[in-house]
Amino acid sequence: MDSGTIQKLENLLLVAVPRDLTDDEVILMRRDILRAIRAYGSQVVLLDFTQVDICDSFFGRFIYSTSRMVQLMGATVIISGLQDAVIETMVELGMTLPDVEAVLDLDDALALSRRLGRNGSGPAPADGGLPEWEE
Amino acid sequence: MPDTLQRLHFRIQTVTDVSDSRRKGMQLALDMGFAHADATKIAVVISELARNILIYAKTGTITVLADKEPDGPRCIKIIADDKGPGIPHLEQAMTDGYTTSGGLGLGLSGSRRLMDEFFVHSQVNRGTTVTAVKYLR
Amino acid sequence: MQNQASVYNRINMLEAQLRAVLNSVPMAMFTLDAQGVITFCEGHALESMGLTPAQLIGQSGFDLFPNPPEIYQGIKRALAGETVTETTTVGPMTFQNTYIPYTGEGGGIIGLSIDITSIRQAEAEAREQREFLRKVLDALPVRVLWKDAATHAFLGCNQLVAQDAGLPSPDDLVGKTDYDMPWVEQAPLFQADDRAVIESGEARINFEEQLTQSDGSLSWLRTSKVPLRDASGAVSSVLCVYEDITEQKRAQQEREALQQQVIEAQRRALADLSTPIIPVMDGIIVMPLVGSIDTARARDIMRALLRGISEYRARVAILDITGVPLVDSGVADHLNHTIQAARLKGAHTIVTGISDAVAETIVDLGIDWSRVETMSNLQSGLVAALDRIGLRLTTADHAANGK
Repeated sequence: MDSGTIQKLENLLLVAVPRDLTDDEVILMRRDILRAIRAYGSQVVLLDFTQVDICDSFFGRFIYSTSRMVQLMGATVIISGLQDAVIETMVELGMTLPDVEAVLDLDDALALSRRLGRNGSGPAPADGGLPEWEE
Repeated sequence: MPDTLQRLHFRIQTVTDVSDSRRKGMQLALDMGFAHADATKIAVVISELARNILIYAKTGTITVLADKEPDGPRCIKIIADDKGPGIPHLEQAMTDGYTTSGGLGLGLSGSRRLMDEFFVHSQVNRGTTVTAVKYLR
Repeated sequence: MQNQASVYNRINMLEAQLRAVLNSVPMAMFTLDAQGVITFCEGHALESMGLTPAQLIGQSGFDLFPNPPEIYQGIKRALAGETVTETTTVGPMTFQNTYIPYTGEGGGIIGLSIDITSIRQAEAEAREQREFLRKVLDALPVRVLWKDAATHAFLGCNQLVAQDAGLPSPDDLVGKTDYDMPWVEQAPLFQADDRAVIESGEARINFEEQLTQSDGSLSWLRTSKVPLRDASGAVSSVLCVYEDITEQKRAQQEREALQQQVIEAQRRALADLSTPIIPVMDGIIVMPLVGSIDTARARDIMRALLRGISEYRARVAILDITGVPLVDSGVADHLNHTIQAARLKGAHTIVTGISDAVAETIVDLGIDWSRVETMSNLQSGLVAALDRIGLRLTTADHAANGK
């Protein structure tokens, strides 16, 4: 597992998606993600696209296929970090990913994963005194 | 350098060629003065067309060139060419969601939306040439 | 007796005719006997030489013309039976001399001297002019090349073109075509241009094109092609004059790119002005839209909204369209795109300011806004936004007690 691109944070798995992805790299990355979910019991996988400046339909497919695999393991994929120019292009391309939730930043991702941790199965959040949003 | 500023030519045979061509194409667009968002769109179109070449024809070429209409605006032209199987139902292929490769079906239709002019010339078993143009405003 | 008389007359007539010819053209005729003594000389050229027949007749040719040696040799060899032609320059004048052995009675030779001074002068002037023209061509800071109209073969060029071709001199290009040059890639295009000029008979002035140099690099040229006609008026060749504008082109392109950037920055600034974002509280921004929304404005709105979401870390964006006079399917589509974009950024959008008319239009036009959260006014939108981020507005009455 490449610790450089996948980080565990509480209930969340933070995946930094690299700028260019080959088909082989996609397979390796998904394998690492699924392995990590199993190892840590993570419920949320955050795909962060901050480093991606060109997001074509290949990336869209990557997001959907990863999302389906992750769901089969009982977790959810959320995305963050899409650059403005990338979002504009995706929308015009027609690739709006309506079934994938997007969050603004890591804080929101963590809040979401904590909510899911309380409601569903999986490990409880480590520190109960963290500031949380009311439901 | 004058020659790389005006025209880029890529042989598409691997995924590295796809990333290479779209990145250099994006840089050419930026050098020409395209706004960042437009350069991103141009890069995505190059990426989509290059990937289509890889998936369907295995090999082909992408040419990206800076051009100018006489008495008209400057523009960037992307020409994707292959001698692959061709597109049998072109109208269908140009609609959202149609795919024969298990993808999102947005490659051709989406690319057309991102550019100002989009021409597809395809003959079954002879090959496909896509020409896409975006004007510099 | 009569026979003799008519022969005599005929001889006189021939002599008179000969004299007439000799005295009107710049030539002179000599006859010399077997010892080389001049027995006859006549001709207009004698005047130019400053000589008269009287001075020459009876003199030995060998004694009169010891120099230059060509004349001496000419007489000698002709006397030996050989016909000789040679050219001699005496002072400022040049003569073409022919010595013909006379096989008739007594032997000797006939000499013809033609004054070719003016011809030589004309040749020299022409050569000087050609040299001068060559100097002019090579001194011009532009490339000059001319090609045959039928074969497109090079007829000539100046030194700069030879340099571009990687050849030592312009003569090395004669007979070759664009296909033999380092710019073979552009050859079909160049020849097509040539044909266009030849067939139309009209010049093409100052157009820009590209050329591959001998080192493989690509240059920009400003070219003019002019049809040249021969005496019959048909186009026989094409004159191509071109200069290298690669540097200017690059500078121009850099300027244009910079201009584009400035224009883009100005547009951005203008767009910002027309798309104000109001942060109402942590995590909520309001974007009031006023005026019509076309494609360009819609793009600005989307970009401004995305920027605003970043800047204010907004989770909810309220798009108020109270001030948008017309909402048709086009505008609805634009707003949809903006909403989708905001969602991909992680923010939820609420559209407020839906008037009765707009609500009717949307339904009548069959626009699908079922997934879009809409409110009739900004206030309700604000309450909904607060609700979404988990806050609630309460009145201050609770805290009033105790004063």
